[in-house]
Amino acid sequence: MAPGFSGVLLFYLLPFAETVRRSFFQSGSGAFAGTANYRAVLHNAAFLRAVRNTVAYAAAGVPLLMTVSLFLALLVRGLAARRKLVSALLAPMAVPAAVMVLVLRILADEHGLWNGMFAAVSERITGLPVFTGADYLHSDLALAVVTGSFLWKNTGYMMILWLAGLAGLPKEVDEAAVVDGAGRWQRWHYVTRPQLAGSFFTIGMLSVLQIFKSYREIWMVAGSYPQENIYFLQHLLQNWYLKLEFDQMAALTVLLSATLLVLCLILQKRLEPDL
Amino acid sequence: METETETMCKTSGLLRKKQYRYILFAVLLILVLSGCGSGEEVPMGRYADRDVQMADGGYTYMHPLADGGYYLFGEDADLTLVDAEGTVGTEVWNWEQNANIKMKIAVAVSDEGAVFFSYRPKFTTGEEYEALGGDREIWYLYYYVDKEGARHSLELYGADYRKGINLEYFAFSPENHLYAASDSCVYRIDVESGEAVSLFGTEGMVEEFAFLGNTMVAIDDRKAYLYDMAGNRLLDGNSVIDEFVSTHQSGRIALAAKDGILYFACRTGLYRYLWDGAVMEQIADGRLVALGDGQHSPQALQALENGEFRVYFGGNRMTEMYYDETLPARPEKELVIFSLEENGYIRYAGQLFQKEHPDVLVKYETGMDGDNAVSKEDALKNLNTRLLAGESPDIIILDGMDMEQYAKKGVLKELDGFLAPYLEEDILYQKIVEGMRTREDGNLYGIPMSVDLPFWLSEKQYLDGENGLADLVEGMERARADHPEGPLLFTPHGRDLLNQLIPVCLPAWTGEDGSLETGKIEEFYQAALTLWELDCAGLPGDAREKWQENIRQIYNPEEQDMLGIEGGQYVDNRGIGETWAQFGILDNIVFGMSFMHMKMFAIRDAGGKPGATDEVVYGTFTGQAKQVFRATTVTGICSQAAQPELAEDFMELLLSDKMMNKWWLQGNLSGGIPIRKESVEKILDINNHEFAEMKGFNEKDTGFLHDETCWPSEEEKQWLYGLMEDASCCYRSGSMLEETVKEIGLRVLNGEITPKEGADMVAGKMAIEMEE
Repeated sequence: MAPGFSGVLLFYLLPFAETVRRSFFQSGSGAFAGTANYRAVLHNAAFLRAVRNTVAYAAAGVPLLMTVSLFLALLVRGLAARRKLVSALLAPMAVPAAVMVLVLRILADEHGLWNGMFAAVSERITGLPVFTGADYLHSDLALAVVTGSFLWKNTGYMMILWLAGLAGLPKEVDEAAVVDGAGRWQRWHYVTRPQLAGSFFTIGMLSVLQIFKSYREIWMVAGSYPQENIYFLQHLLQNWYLKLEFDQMAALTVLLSATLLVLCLILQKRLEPDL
Repeated sequence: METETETMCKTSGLLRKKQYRYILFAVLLILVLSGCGSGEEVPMGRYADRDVQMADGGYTYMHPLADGGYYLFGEDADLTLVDAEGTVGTEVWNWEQNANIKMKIAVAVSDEGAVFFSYRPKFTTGEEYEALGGDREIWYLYYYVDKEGARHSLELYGADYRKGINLEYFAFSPENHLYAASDSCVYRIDVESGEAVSLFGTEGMVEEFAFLGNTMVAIDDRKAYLYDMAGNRLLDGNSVIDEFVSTHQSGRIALAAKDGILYFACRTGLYRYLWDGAVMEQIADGRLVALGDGQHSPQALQALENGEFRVYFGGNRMTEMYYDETLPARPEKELVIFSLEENGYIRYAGQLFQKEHPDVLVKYETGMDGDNAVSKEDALKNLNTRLLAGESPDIIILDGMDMEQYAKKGVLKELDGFLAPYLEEDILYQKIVEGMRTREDGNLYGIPMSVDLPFWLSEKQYLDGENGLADLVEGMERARADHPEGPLLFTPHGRDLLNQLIPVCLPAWTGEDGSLETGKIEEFYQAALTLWELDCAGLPGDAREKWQENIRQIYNPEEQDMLGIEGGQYVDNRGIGETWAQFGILDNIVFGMSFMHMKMFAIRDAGGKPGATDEVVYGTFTGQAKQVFRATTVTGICSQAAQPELAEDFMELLLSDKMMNKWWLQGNLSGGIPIRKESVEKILDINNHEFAEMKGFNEKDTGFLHDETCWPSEEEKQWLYGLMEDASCCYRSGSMLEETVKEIGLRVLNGEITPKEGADMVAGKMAIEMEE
């Protein structure tokens, strides 16, 4: 216990305490700033934009990821070839970020595969080159593209987690429900879903964390200043670091940590009331 | 009653407490014995160096002799013997009689005074050129002069040698056998018959030989090859030398062998290796002697009997390294200088400062040193991390960095007080200095060491009056009407055009409050698009691609080397290429935009074309902004500098007459115009024809072209002084706005979006940056 806690103290808690301290001081002069850094962050238009986008991305990505992966898990859990399917769906997880970026470019670029396909189809239907194409990562569709790539990359992994959760459920309860004449939907709603509450919490939190981790690919494909709707909190932190806005970064980190903690506690309360 | 277990627990607890005490005691003992916490005594003694005064005889090669003397030789120099006391002897033989030899490539001199070298012959016509190998294969010829002075051309032959294999490096062994290296093989050459015998293959080009008894040590840029000259066989490699060579690739490594010890001199210092030992020992830190000046690589190393060393750097630069017991082994103070990229002026100043302050170690650090793949963003993050950790450098070179932001965050020291005497005494160009004030608080935090002024050239009829962006467009339209075919601007790619136009327009795109003037950007895009379309109209179909390929070849240093452009002086030749274009020597180019530097200013008449004063006019280019200057080597002092006094001393050196004159008079005339008035005047007063001389390759008649150039007249000098006095609007490259405008500008030029859409996209992208 003691060595483990020492590590946490040394590498997490103390640095975080230092971050909290810095959030109340100016980075250049070192003068006490009170809550000025927090106020500056909360009034910063880029911060508000980044929060909006990050929330939108999470609101679209997390439920979609959880739903799709759960649906697939339910679909394949009875299949004999589920191992092969799972392996296939895990492949995107192993794809290096650089390759991922390349794939995105090949697909979503103005001269990419999607545009080529759409142009060919529309020309075949109308007989005219009516489709001129779009640079999806530099358009309003950028968020949809990014969300799609997030799903593609993480669905397999989340599906495994769901399968593990489903495998841990006692079969007797489900069988009893069958004997009692419960239908498929009733069994899911009244038997399986309540028992999966713990998995919901774990997979939900992991999905939120994956949202933040997907920043690397987005940065590689669109740079420090991407299309407005895919400008996330990490872009802001990254750019502030280059601009030496360490004080505001510290304040933002504290705010972000507090928000995630509250979110975590709420989810835990809702999904794991016994804990 | 205590159980056995309880007793054991108590005992083990006591033991543990005792153990802790012992451990604590041991740690304290180690700390005390290791000297931690006590004043550290600095060991004394290290190598220092002194310059050797050499006559400027056009030397490029030095051959050390065992008795401490040496031979000097060069492209246009006679073979000269200097004895151990440094007395320069008379020429051993005279070069004049060999006027048909165009240029020497590589040279070897034996201990007895025999000379072997490779050369390119002179040629003036295309037929002669083709006869010598043509476009792709310039054959070297070889020449041998024996110790008696008898000279003859040598035709090489051999079972593993064919004509066309160019031998680049040579060396005579102490037994006067000649060894030579091509890019993949080492040969032994019989200087009487010309037979070349292949000894062993190499991975790269062997550039240096040393002879230790019967063993020849040859090194390329990856490893060392050990060859038993008596047994005629290649020996096993030496991992210590291999590792050293592979990790010290920057610049050349010079070798010397003496008394069973191999000495290596390179930019990082002087090293010795006891033959067959396990360690390569550094005996002099390159940063503390001339080896690390970044300007020159050592060309030859000589180990002397008295323990001193002589290092030859080429030209008339030679130093002697001696052991000084009065100097501390490692200087107690450090002056840390940081720049994103290597800066020759700063490197040279650091070396000069080091020499004047032997008690200080000048550490010049670059964020992107070329050997690693660090991006600018990563380099800035690394710097910011250091700043965050309180490890601030003393001096920051702000080129490529956001000076305003660093000043705003308190990283930079305000320089108004430091610069006041310079301004009061009218030493620096006042308006240039004033142009460096920040928008935030109007203070000075950085000062450029030199500036470039934008100017343009054209045939008089098209540009002779106002010189804004609209005038350029109007002039181009008239020029296109007169010249329906071919390019008008020397801008092969769209990016080139944007690069030329942005510096003189960018300062006009932001208002006084920092807001973006979208209308000005749209106007810029519109003008750029018109210019691009006019230029492209003369190059229909794939003509532009062909032209781009031609330009790429001319600018490619390897291609230049193949074409035989003298000395592979890429930078100079690039200047020549632009100059030709700007003066209309290349067909149809009637406009040129560039930044002025001393060389450009000096050209009047090139390649037989009329001089600038008659048909070609040149003047300042104002674009959308006026009185623009491009600031280079912008230097600031860190507010958290560990050595603030030293930092100010260094800054004084940078701005000194001594430093500026030394730097610019060494021939660094392409690096902008110094901001010290006196230095500009001194440089222009030299009236040195050599500085303005240009040589290059003319593809039309496949002959070498020598540009006739002359130094500016008094009237032109006054014009330049006036331009410098008026320059007040600073353009600094690499801003986010510039990159965004370029990125979107390419789409405008390609016709993907309209200028209006482009300007709006820039505004949208910059909005986030401004919000931050």
